[in-house]
Amino acid sequence: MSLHAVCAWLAATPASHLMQAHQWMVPAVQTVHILCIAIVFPAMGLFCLRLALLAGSSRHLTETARRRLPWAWAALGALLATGALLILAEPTRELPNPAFQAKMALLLAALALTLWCQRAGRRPVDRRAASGTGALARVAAAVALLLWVATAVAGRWIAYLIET
Amino acid sequence: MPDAADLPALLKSLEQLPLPTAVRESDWLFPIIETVHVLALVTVVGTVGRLDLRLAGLIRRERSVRELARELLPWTWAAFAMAALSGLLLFSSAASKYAANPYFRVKLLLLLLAGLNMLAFQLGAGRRMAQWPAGTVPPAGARVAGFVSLTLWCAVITAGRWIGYSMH
Repeated sequence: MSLHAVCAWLAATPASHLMQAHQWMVPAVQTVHILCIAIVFPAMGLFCLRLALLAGSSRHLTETARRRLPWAWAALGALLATGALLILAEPTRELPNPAFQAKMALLLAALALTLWCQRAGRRPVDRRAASGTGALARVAAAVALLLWVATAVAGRWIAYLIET
Repeated sequence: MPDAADLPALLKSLEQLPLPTAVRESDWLFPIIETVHVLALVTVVGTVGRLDLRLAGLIRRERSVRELARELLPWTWAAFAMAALSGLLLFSSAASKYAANPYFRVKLLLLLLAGLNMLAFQLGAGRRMAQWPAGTVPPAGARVAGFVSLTLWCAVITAGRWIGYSMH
């Protein structure tokens, strides 16, 4: 099934029809989406920034990495759910859109790298020093921070790269 | 120069300034500034919202309000400055249209109310912030301020999102 066919199929579902019929629904879901970004983005951003800036102080690195960001993960779930609704409402606006595709790739990379940083930072201090993971984790955290910014930027550009 | 009381003429002359004209005529400037605006505003609402939740007693209390405020508020203010500056640029590119937009007007009003709520908190319940230890819920006045702030910022984002759908 081609991407085009997937879009047509999604757009023909009753749920998609419902959201297309009520003009307020898409901006309402987008508003919830943005509110969730307001939880996820500063939380992940400050977390990565803190990891990246902790100059050699392994104890703080471990403490920061231990923080499990429960709100951020919950909000990320809500982000994925509202994002799925937005795809369902306007599949041709999203799926073939290069900004949307870039956003998904960046999101996966940001997530993977943030999780890796969290795990690397949690390792015992002596083992980390021996393997040099501390410095590596800090570089990775800086890259993860840029990836989170890039994910949000790509998201904003979906509206400007809609296929006509 | 138009009379200061003549708002429509003032808005028109604002639109004609070089920078607003460039934002309006360029294909790239508006989306770029809008992206900065969104990154800044999610940082404002995300950081201030966390403090609001702590004030309202809705999140973990292991850190005191004061400690959390010291950590978060510099980010809030830096991001707010960025959001205000980028917002002003976006506004100036089509000042007359924005000024006439009901959602834009509501958004400005909500921002004003959020500012007044913050001021009332700083001058009132917030003055005794140093006496609220970690692990406790702040007094009623502070909890109310937290709830009001949280509600207003959510409404600001909602109104802002609707501006984009009503500017055509």
